[in-house]
Amino acid sequence: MKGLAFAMASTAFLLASPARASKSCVETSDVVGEQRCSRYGDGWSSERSLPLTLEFGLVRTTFGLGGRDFSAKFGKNGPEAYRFDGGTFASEARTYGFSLRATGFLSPFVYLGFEQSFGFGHTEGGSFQAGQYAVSTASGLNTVAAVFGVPFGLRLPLGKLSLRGEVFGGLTILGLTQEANAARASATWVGGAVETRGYLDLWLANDTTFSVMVGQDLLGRNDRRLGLVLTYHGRAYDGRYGF
Amino acid sequence: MRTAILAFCLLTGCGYRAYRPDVRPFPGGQRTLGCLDVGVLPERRGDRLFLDVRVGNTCSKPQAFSIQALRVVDGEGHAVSLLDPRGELQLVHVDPETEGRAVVALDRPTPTRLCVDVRDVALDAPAAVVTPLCFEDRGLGFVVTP
Repeated sequence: MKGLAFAMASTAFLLASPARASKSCVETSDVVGEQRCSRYGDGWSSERSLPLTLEFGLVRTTFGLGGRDFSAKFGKNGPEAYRFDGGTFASEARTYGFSLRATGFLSPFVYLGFEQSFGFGHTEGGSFQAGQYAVSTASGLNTVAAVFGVPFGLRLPLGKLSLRGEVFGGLTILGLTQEANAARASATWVGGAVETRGYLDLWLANDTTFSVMVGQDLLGRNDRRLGLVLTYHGRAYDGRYGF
Repeated sequence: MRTAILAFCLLTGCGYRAYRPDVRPFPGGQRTLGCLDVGVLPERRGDRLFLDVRVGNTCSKPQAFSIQALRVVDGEGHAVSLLDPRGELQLVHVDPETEGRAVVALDRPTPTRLCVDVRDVALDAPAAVVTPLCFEDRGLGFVVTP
């Protein structure tokens, strides 16, 4: 769960940064050459705008559980009590949550960024035996998921629409709570994530897009992702409207 | 959707900067040069004189804009220069469907009549006959004169 804590802390940092930046300088003049916080062309010229984006998404993720080796323990810092394959009790777990990410455009067609997402869900499953523990999931499992990593993508500008394809590489943390011998246990799986994703973007304004995203993992775990994403763009149309 | 955008912008600190000429026309005089709408208005603040320059790109591609190509003359035909103490007034490209603004100090505070020729500022615009914009200070600020 340390990964979860790290991811949440970095989310708080991401959210706090713009507010902190806006308070760091107080403008005293609007006259060119006398401004303290900005320069001529800031915010409206290609030369003085940053090709960065900030995204907020609502994401539904389905994690295939088979082949994922969970480690379970009792209490926060207890030793490992038992291990089990996630496919023992259910084939998949679905979570609903949000994603945050920042990207930078290396050109109007290529971008690189950092992303983190969190999901929460409830999975129904059967009971099973893990070593000396009778694990019950009959009342369902609370599922927590955190994914963070680096997206690298290509963008095809088509006027008011854009198509994007990207590869995402990072880390997935899956947490499950369950009952073992009538005591509450938490099980965690941590592993790599490699996904391919597609986006369809609609420009709502020159600096704002609304996107539909679909993703599929490339590691054979049958993870699937569907999202709705709102994005603020630091450079109008990411520098290119069409061909 | 506007509410969602507003909430997102409040969260991220972004500014909505799309150029909407039909919603917010520029104050003062204005000329259209290809994709660029260029507006100017002299403004007196105390004993200093400024030129409020606005530019809006109506197209979906960046447009070259050279503010140094503005030609300002007083009522007697003498050139008035834009003050640029930090050398910022370089050629820039106005982002698509975006509005920009610059307030520039003028080197002479006394003129009560000014004419501003904007015809050379839009480098991507086709050549066209553009008449200068003239203003006169009648005590309540500068107003456009024919």
